[in-house]
Amino acid sequence: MSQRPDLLERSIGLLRSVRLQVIRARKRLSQRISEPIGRVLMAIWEPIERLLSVLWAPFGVVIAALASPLLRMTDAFERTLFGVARVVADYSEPILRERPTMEHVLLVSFFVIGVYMYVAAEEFGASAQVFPQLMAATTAILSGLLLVRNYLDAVAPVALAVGGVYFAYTGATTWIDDGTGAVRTLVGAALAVVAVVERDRVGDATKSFVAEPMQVLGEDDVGASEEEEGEDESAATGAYTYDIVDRRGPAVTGLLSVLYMVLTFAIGMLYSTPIFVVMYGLWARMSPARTIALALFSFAIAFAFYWVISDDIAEGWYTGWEPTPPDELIGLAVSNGGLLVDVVVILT
Amino acid sequence: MSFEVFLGAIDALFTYETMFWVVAGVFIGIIVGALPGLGPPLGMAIILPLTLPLDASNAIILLIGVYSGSMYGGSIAAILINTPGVSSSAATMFDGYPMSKQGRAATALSVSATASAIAGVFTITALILFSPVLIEMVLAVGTPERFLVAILGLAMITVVTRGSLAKGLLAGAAGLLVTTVGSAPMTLDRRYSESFLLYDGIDFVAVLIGLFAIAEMMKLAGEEGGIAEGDVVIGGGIVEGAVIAIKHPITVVKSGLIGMGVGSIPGAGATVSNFVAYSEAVRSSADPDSFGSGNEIGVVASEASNNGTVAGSLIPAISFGIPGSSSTAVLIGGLLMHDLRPGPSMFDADGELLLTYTMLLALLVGNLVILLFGLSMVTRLGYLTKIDTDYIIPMVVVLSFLGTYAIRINPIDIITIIVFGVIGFYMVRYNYSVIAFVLGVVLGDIAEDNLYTALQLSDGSFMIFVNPFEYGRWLSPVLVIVICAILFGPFVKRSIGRVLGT
Repeated sequence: MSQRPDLLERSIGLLRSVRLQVIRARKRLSQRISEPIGRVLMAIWEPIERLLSVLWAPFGVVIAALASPLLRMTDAFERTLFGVARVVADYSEPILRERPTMEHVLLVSFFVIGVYMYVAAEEFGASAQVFPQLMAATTAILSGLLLVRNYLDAVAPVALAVGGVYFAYTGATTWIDDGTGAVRTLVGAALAVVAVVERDRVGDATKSFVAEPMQVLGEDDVGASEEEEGEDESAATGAYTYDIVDRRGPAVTGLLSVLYMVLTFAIGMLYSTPIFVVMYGLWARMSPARTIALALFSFAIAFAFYWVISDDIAEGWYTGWEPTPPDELIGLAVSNGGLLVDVVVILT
Repeated sequence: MSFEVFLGAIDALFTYETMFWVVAGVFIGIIVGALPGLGPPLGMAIILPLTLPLDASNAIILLIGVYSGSMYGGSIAAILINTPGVSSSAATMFDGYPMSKQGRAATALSVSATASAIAGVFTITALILFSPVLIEMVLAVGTPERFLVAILGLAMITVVTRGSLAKGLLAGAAGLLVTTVGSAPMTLDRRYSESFLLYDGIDFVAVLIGLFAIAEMMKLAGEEGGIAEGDVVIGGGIVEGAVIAIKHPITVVKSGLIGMGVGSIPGAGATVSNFVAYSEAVRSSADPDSFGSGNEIGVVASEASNNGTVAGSLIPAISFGIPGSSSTAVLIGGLLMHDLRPGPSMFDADGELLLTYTMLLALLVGNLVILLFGLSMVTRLGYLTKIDTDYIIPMVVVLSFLGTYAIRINPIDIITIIVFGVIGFYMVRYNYSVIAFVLGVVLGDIAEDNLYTALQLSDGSFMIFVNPFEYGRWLSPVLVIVICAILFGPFVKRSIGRVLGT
């Protein structure tokens, strides 16, 4: 009986040593295979990297020469832009009762688009205008409320009263015309009365509807809730915001994307793709070799799209210009090469 | 009938071509999830236009494979460099990274792979078993109710994501407004399309790519970190990790079910379920103090829950077209792009039920791929954390441009991705719900179709939604009451509390 555990232990020990041997053998094999491959790859890459650096050098000088006044212009533009933005912000701050940010630009855009789309929808057929008007009105009202969030005590009761009177008026006219609309009239009148009699509560309710929970809680509660919930609160609720460390990063990425779009419309996406990648590489201060490698890789992707999905990407949509695509260039080179060979043969 | 379709789905799945797309999807998903700054919606949005040449079934399987794979992939960066590859792996950092610092990174990664796979298999199986009931439920809902369910989804998203209610609703309404450009879905009137380029409207794929790819890249360009600074050492036992996950079946099943339940709530998503499951694991533990310093159960709970969310979020997505998360919003976009409409047809034996079952079975197989890949590649996963964002950003922008433009060769789509990229960037920055906006964009046509049909039934009267006596539709007023309770309940409760002085 006592031999059984021994046997078991020995078997387990044997299995462990076999496993260990297998792991070591696998490691040795892996090293034997991966190390030479790695060495070969590095041996291939290093001269390529040196060659690319050498080839890049004159371009680098030209680009630096071209970029330097461009960078000075960009800096001057940035200074002017920030100066103008500061002046606008200084004037707007007392009106908005808060420092204007890009959020206000976003809200104004939503408001203007909402109003425009509501008005433009009047021209559509009756059944085609219901949904857009409903959504446009909601967008305009909500963005308007968010824009005047620091005036809601005064604005909300007035807006509700005006809305109520409008409802009552349109309901009453419909009622006179065809006998319907009594409910709308009563609801509108009730809203107008509530807006006047309970204006404080209307203001408070609208404020809590519009404001962030932290603003609703007030200063004292904010401290308490922060302590309780900790810094991962935003993640826990599924909503997340973020901190931008480098403000120029998003701006440059956005601007380069716009430039990529302009190039696409001018010369087509096939050739504008590597240009965009090179521009990004220059901005991100990537090494020349890596920039070129990435640009070539991006060109390969663009060419795959051109080859497999659609050859329209080689044409500038706005200019109608289609620079000769690489396959045709190769064909041209081959036929010219053939021609050259013929000439040489004839001459010799 | 359903069982025959189910058998047909098994047949359809186990072909070389389909299995290739399952494996490819999971593989891409793991890479996308592991790269900090990317994530499942971004990966799926970029792949979306590339699925155009595929048939609908393989396209959806590829997308869902990416979704599932990235849920596991997110844990790789969380464990190795203390940065979650996706937000749904945030809780994995709490114990995964300390395990890594203790020299047990391989154990943590294999715990993550095993827990993810088991929870994924369990919840998908539960969903397949639950599907007959789900089918009955979906088929019982009529057209007016489907419009209200869409509004309910929107309301739930604005409440679940918290923040300002007005901001959430504004995001949803603006998203719905975007879909009104172009031809009206039922009457074919041209709306806001003065330029012929807008005749076909604003392409929702371009909007999704703008919101998820361009906006995310702008954000990534302004952030620091996210890349391993030195060599990542991956030590510890792989088998040990798998055994740990298997030895905690209750935590795996419970966390998977939490993930499934939370995932089925529109807008909640894997980030919320991740924290809920982790908190529950801490609460029910005999040694809660050990969490946060390398307790494997924390990794088990977190990873089981986020893969469980995949099954849960599919319930509202394929039943009513309401995405439970940004990823399912893109998935719905994929369905629509391939002319598949979420809703009753997805559960109709003569419709798309075969595809629905194939998709669920593909997810089941995808989880086994996660397990195999996760366990066999553990020691190599550190490479993924060393890829610089400076390489990622231009490549993602290029793929976004090429993919979007190739769909329709319409220059408006390029302008769309840039405009919505900027809008998305600032929406996230100022706490506006991007999920609500996406829901609006994806749901717009379906919602308008249902509203139009409902108003036709009632001769243009909105009373069809609230008056059951005249129209005999009792579910509609119930849904209206639920929507009002969700939106205005907290304010009414507060006002009553003030009046009563409590």
